[in-house]
Amino acid sequence: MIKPTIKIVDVSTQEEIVREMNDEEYAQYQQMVADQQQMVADQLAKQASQNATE
Amino acid sequence: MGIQQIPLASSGLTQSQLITAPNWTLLQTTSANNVTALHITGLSGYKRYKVFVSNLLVVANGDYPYWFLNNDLTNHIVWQNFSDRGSTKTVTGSAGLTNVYYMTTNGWRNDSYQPCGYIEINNADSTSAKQIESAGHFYSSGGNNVHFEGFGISVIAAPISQISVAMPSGDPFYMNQIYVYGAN
Repeated sequence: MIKPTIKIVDVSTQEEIVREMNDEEYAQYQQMVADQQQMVADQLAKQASQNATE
Repeated sequence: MGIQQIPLASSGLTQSQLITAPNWTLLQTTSANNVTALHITGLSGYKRYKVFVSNLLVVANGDYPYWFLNNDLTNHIVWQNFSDRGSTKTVTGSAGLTNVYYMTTNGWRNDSYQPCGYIEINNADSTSAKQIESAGHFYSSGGNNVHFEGFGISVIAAPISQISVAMPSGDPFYMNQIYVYGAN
């Protein structure tokens, strides 16, 4: 499986690297996406609850 | 009583101490081309950092950038996407989030318009709270010129060595121009 692409810009060396995420970065990426999905689900549930009481 | 004038020589301050304007130095220019995360690393030696970005293009409508410092994604700075600017919003993120930076805007969109903005971190070299300012401009597809700005505090207890940005959706993004500045 190809993981998402990440870019690292090191201003101390001026080096720029574009590469596939490593396992640690990919885990962080997955957590970020999961948090976002949970937030959206929570917002939708809250909206649905508000609509039901109106 | 007239205004008392104190000669510079007797003020006890050097000339550089009397100059309060930051001496912004361009550290690097770069771009992001269809990447899912961008990490600006190797930051040291400056009290302030500023990152300008322009031509931010996200892949999907509703996307918006998370900015985060020292790779601490749980404490992020949000350029939130809103279609109803001016309405009351609540801070997003996990409970106990302590350094959220939050602003309202008509949002970053998946179109050909060219939003630009910046994030600035002050007190970046200390272990105490960092002051964060950010602003940007966006021309919406509806023809609205939108300016947004905000202010926040980061309580990350370490000098800032890394500034990162990613979309919480996990989608890739583009930033045609990225300018990284440092100042003391």
